[in-house]
Order: sequence, then structure tokens, then C-alpha cells
Amino acid sequence: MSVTARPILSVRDLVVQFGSERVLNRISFDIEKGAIVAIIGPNGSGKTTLIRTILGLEKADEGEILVFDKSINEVRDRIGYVPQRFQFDKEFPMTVLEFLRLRSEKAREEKTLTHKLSEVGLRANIAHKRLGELSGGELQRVLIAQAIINSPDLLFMDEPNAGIDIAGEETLLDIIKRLNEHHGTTILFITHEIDIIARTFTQVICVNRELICHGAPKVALNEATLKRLFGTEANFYEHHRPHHH
Amino acid sequence: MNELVQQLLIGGALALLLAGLGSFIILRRLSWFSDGMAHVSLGGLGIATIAAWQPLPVALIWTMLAALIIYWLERNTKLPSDAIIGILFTASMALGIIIFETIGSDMEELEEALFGGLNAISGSDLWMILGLGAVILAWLFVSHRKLTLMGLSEDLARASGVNIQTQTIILYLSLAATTVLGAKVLGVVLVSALLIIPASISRLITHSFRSYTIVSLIVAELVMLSGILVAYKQDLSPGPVTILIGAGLFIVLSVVQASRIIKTK
Repeated sequence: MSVTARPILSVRDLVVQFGSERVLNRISFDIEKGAIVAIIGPNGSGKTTLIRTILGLEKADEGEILVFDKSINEVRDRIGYVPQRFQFDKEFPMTVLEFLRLRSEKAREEKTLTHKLSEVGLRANIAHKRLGELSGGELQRVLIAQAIINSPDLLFMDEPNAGIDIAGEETLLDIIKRLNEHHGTTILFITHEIDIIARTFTQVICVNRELICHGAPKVALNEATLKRLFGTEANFYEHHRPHHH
Repeated sequence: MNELVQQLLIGGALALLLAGLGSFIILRRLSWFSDGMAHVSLGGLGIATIAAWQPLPVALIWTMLAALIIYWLERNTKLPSDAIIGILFTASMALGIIIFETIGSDMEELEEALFGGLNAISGSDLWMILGLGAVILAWLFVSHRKLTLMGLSEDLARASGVNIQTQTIILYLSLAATTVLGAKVLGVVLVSALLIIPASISRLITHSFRSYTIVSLIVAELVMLSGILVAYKQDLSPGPVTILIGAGLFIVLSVVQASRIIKTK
């Protein structure tokens, strides 16, 4: 007898309103353990609001969200998060190492933390740089390092590939695959780049204020869905990029 | 206990408290809030005087209540925080001045509230400063990771499970209590300077959070203790002397740093 696994993330009839504007309208979906999910949609479609509401950073007006069958507040230690915009005071006196220590529940030794930096493609000597001195791409990788530092079971990434070059994007996709394969981490990843979806992601969620599609990329991302999602002639191209070693 | 030793002990304890909180005040841009809290306490001192109650406990309760009102108004009105603080502190200060004028109290009392003085500290005040100061320092020690993360990014802090509301309320109450305790020595007008100056000096010269916190504490102790010593020797009020030493140090270091930046351009 086969037992159906409980979803690790369950969103039911989610409604979010900002004032009189309904940003998310009756969104429902389940995510199974081990899925790598791309969340796509045009600008202002509510992708970021969706993730922020699941994380409890925005208030849900209606609906239910269960993470590992519990409220998000009970399972925060199992969650990682890479925010879309990390606005902070550039003069804030904090080194990369101190930032990682702040986010790390267990590992505090420099060696362990610099190893995490190498996992995201950063050299160890960056550890003593101040956060405000980092380039956009370096900061993005540090943000990914802090999100994976506690080996989360569920990882939310809000456009982590924004502001990094193609080589950086390849590293990022490698990290995601590795986390997924080695730790069984389930990943929800907001992206604008439809061409990377088929290679890496096992599922796609299309959002434009409401749920437009959810399923395996090759099935869910058809011409009709993309038209409905973006409103114009949009096509799905699968690009093949050279591998970077 | 020798008078000077007692003054140095109180000053040292206050400097530790002011610098500990000051590090987070600069990061969270709460300098105006701390200045406002100090001025609010004058209303509490006025009420205590007219009711013939102990001034320090009344000022503490009054100022902490004002901190809670500010927190509530910040979240439930469309007014910016600085306007709310400005209205509340001037109103409370006006109330204090009117009470002092109405009861015809000798202006020495008002002057002491405004500019501080170590002679006015009673035995019970001393224990209150040391006791409450220890509680606030213990909270800072326990919560420093949460407070630092909040200073850096509220979103990341919230996503990590930090209860922003609770931590902010405790920070506001601690800040209100600390300014009232500090005002006993430095005065209502000057106390916020010692919250701001050590952390600002430290920020000019440090690179990491660890060194920022340590240098803030060292500067606060140096400035406070040298201020008390100079004031004692010259028979001056310790508040203004302490602030002038700190401000002098800040001006020298900021000019040095600015000239270095200009040279590298």
C-alpha cells in the first residue's frame, strides 16, 4: 500500500489585500518535499508578496498557510530566506564573518563559516570585509550563504539571480541542485528568467494576482499559459549555456 | 564611601549602560527618541515635586509611559515618528516647567533637573541606578544578537523568528529608563549626548561590530570618568564637562577622518 506524503508547504485560499487592492486572490497549492519550484509572473503580479506572506512578513487577510503541518513561527529554524532587496546602512560596522555568525544557530568557527562562503563561490578573504564594501554580486552570494548556513529544509529565494552575471547564475543553480540532492532541501525560487526553468526546476508556479499554473515546467509552461500570464506573445526558450568550471 | 569614589562608581556604571544602549541607538537611528525621552522626564519630575513623591521613580514611570504612547502612536497614526516625539516631549517639558513655576519652587531644583549633578543622588537613587542598570544590561547581553540583526534588516530579523514588536517595546522602555537614570548625573538637556557621542566616535574608527561595541564602551568610560574628575577638581557640574570632553574628542576624530577621505579622493 502506498502512502501519500504530506506536503511540506500547503497554501489554501490565500487572500492578501493592500488597502482596497487585492494583491493575491484565492491562491492554493501544495509543495512536496524535495521539489525545486520556480515562481514566475510579470512585475507586480504578487510573487514577492506570496513568499513574504508565507514567511509571515506580510499579513494574510484570508486563507491558511501550513509549513511542515505547522504555523511558520513554529518552524523558523528549518527555513532559509534570501530577500529580494537587502536594504541596509552601507556604513553599518559589520564584517561578513560577523553577519554569518549572527545568522548561524550552531557553527560559529571561522573555518566552518568560510567553508560556507566557498560553497557559494566566494574566497575566504572576503570574510573580514565590511558588508558595505561588497559588490552587488558578492553581497548576493553572502545573502545566499546566510540563508543556507543552518542547512534549511525549506529555502525561499526572491530573485537571487538579480544583479549577478551568467557565471554567478550557474554557480547559484549548482548550489540549489547540490542542496537539493545532498540535504533534500525544498526550494522556492522567484525568477524572471523563464529560460533557466526547464534545466533546474522540477515545478513551476505561475502567479498573476491569482494562480495561473502549477506543475512540471514542460507541461505547465505552454503557450496559452504564458499568454495568460504575461498578456502578450511570450515564448518559452530553453537555452543551453556553456558550463563554467 | 569617599565622595569622589562614589561619584566615579555611579558615573562608571552609567557610562556602561549609556554606551551599551547607545551602540544600538545609533544603528537604529533613535537619537531623537532618546533626546525626547530625556526631556519628557521633566514632566514626571514636576509631578513628583507637586505631589511630594520620590522624583526618580515617578520620572521613570512617566517617561516609560511616554515611550509606550510614542510606540502606539507610531503604529496607529499617519504621523512620522519625529513629529510624535517632538509634540510629546515639548508638552511634557512645558508641563514640568509650569509646575516648577506655579509651586514657586526654587529654580535650583529645575536647574538641577536640566543640567544634572552628582550631589543630588540619594542612597535609594544609587541603588535604583545600579539595580535597574543591571537589569537593562542583562537584557542587552541576552538580546544583542536579535537587536543587531534588527538594526541591520528588520525583514531578516523577522524571518529568523525575532519578535520585532516585543524587542522594540523593550528597547523603548530601556531607553526611557536609561535616559532618566543618566539625567540624574548629566541632566535632562545633556544626557542623550552620552548615548550618542561614544557610539558615534566608535563608528568613525571601527570596522567590525565587535570593535564598534568595545570602543563605544571604552570611550564612554573615559569620557565620563575624566569628566567627573575634572568637574570635581574645578568645582563644576559634571554633565557639561563630560559632554564637552566627548564632543571635543568627536570633533577631532571626525576632522581627521574627513581630511583622510578628502586626501584619498
